[in-house]
Amino acid sequence: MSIVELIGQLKRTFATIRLYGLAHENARIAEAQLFAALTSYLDTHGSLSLVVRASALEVGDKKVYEDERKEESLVRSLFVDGVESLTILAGVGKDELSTLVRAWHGAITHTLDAEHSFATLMWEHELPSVSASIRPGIADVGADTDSDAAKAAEGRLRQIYAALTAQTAADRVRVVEGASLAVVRAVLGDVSAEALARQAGEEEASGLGLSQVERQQLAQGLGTSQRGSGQRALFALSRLWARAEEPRARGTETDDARRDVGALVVRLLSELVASGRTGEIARATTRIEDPGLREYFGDPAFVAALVKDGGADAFAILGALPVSCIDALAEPFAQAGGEARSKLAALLADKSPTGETLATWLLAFGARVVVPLFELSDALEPAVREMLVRTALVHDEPEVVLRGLARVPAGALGDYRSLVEPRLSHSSAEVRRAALGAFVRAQDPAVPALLEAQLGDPGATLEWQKSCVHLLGTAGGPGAARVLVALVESTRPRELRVAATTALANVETPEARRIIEREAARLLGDRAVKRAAKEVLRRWEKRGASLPPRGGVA
Amino acid sequence: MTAPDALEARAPELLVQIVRTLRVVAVHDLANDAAVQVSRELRLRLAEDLLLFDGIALAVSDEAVYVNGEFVKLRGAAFDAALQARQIYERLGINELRFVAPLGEEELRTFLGAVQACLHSQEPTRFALMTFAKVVVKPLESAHKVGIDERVALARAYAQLVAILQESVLLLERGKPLALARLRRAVHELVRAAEHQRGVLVGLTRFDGLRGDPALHAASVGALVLAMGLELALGKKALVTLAQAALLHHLADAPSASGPAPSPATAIVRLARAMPTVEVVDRLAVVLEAGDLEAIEKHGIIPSTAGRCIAVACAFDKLTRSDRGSAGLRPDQALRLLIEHAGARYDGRAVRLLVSVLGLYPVGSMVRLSGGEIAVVIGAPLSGQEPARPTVRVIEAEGRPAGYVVALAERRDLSVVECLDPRAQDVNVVHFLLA
Repeated sequence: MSIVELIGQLKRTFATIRLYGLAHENARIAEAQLFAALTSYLDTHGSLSLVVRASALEVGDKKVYEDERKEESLVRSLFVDGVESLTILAGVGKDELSTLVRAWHGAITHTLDAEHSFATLMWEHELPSVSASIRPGIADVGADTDSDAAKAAEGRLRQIYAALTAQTAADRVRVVEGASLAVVRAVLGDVSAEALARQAGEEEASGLGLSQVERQQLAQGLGTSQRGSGQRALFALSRLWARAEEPRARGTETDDARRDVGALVVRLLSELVASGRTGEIARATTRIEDPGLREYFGDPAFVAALVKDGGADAFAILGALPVSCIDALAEPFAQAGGEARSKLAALLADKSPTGETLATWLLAFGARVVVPLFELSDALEPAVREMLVRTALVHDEPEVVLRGLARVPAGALGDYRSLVEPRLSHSSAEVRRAALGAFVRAQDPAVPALLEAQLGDPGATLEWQKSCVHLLGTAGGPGAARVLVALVESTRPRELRVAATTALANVETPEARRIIEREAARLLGDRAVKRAAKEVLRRWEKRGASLPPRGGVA
Repeated sequence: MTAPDALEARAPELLVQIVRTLRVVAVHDLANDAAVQVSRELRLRLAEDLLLFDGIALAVSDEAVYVNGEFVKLRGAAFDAALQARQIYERLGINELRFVAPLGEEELRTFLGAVQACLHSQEPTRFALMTFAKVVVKPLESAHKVGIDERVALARAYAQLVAILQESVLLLERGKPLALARLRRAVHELVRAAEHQRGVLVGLTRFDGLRGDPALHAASVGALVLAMGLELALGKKALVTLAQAALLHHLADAPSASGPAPSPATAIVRLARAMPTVEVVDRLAVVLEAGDLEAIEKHGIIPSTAGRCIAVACAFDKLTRSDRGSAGLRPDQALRLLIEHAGARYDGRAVRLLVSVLGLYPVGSMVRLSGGEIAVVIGAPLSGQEPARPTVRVIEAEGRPAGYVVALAERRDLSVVECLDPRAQDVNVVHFLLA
């Protein structure tokens, strides 16, 4: 494998990555081919040292690569970053090459994170077989060193360096009596002036060594990623919050500080839940007592994220939310399904939301939440259920009204009458039926009159009128009988008269019997009505002893 | 096989073995298993090769490596070893080691012990002047200059860090994002420059010339924790992460040019706004806990190791810095108070780590010796040596200016009797560290 072939493979690899992206199968294949080519080269030559120029790569003193187009330069970013050369040794592993390619790709596409450059990444990775020689100094290589800002920065640096290396110290400190002790006490707590004055000596030196185990513990603690940092950060912020309250005299400044800390808490919560670290939040929550700060845990976006997470820790945090944050649960509750919703319902039941709260949710979310809200209300105080029913009855959505009507207790129609009656003239037939049904279930004496009014409505459909006739039959009683008899004898459409005749089967009055027998015996009457009457008679006979007597009162 | 052929065949392996041994003793105690093993292997190897050749000489120049005058073809591990040999030789101020006869166990131990001590010392190039029973050392003429250049480079890197921290304070004040990339790069430069000049790094933190400048306090604490991390041989990424955390901790509550320090709540909010990275939780955790360790522990939460170390370094620097009317304690006073509070207010291990980095008389301390001399501490005792016996540069003897180095670990007739305040005598100790 010659250097020309190897560089060619390098170019192809980056071109493939540019075209397909790093994660694509073609990019992985190209990288594997590059690895094979590189290994073959290194087997012969032992190492590869690429010198980085502004628009070229050199090996030895020979140019082996030159940028063809500035916008697709492989080397410009590295040169500007201060990279002088890249050295790869025989024995390089696939992972090392992969790290190098990713860092290089990130540099040329400017997709590295804001804190890193190719140079810093390579330096920090400490790859055993890949090293980058970096030009010392951190001035922006390639930047305009003649700009005012650059000159000012250089001037500051010279000043600091001059002070650092001067033979004599700068101005003496103006010492204030007791200031040293004050500083010491601020740092260490209670320390006496006598303790300050004592000189250190050899006796202090004994027993100060760090054991190997302690070294390892410290190194391990410093070398690993931070576990539990979320819990520590949140707890520490809660203490800042508490301290921000203390100087009440500051007035607005205090409120601003606390609000800012609260906003920062929300930010951290979002970061933690997004990275799946809800356990840390849950542990921190148990130590944060201030209700004012806990309210920030009710941030709607954070709560929604917790519901979406759905884990035990997430629900533990939701369970710990103060009652004042309950409204943050409304939207997630509306959107959740299945198990999540059940869990939320259980959680809400524990928080004992007020009727006003649930009513607000019902008004906002309507049919999406009406069923689970009613289920939830079953576990709550009767006053909450009542509020919910009332709200449902006045809702705009028919489905919600229907659910509300279904929940009106049979024995308590009177409490809801003013809300149910207007529903008798609702635009939805289903609602009208349900409203009437509520009256019928309650066996309200006004039922016949209500139904009669419906039957008298010129805008009512035949189907609706038939439903009313059926309900009259269900309601029964003299009032219903009167209306039905009047219908049978009327000149209303046949279907209606047939329905009225059939409905009379449930109305056990002498007048009803008289009409039924008359219609059954009529020679020139409507045949359908006659058939219906005969059917009613047959049913009555079948029932036997319970038939109403002829004439007289039943 | 002819002798030249044999040499050509054996030279790369010999190079690798010698360099491996030097590298291992550079980081491990001589009694450590790894060090014992490589020493034994080298001794046996040399014994074997010295039967074939009249001496084994390993020479390193800028371009090439030679064994017994023969150019060594560098491939694979030999190439790597050559780079490392160049670095080690440069540090020690030599360009050749010649083994003239097989070494006994004790003889090799003495030689490797000297290599180790010099690599870790402030004046590694004194190795070039040492003599050994069966090893001849050939010095490099420009080694002394290399040592000075390294110290100057470190001072520049430190000054650069202070400058960038000053800019960062202004950015925070103006509510702008921090230039974390520049800060990170500055830390890199400091780590690179401090690799063989740890004592000077610590000494630079004793500079107190920019009165009350928060950037100086931040740089000082950053450098101290860096020294602690170097003492633990942390990886580069861990070093940078630790140093960054220390710098951010102190940037947070830096006072503004136009007024007092912000309240702690305002400070942390301001810092968080300037940090748009996804690591903001981890970073803020360390920044916050380093300033509130006691309370965190009291509530049963375990602070991070980084937070503990930064807290100790910060305490030391605050105690010794002249600020707000306080002259600042002498370093030995501050260390003694921290030692007394170790385990109570501060993590005992972190305090002992700081002491092992600084010694009881940190680099940059001005001391009076038992012979009446006034000196500046320029080198902390090596790990495992007595903390009260550093290396010093005498700047005044018998009432007259002086300029010579004394290693108190070797001079049992002298000891430190008291620490002096250089500020009281208008002395900038950093100047003597760079001389």
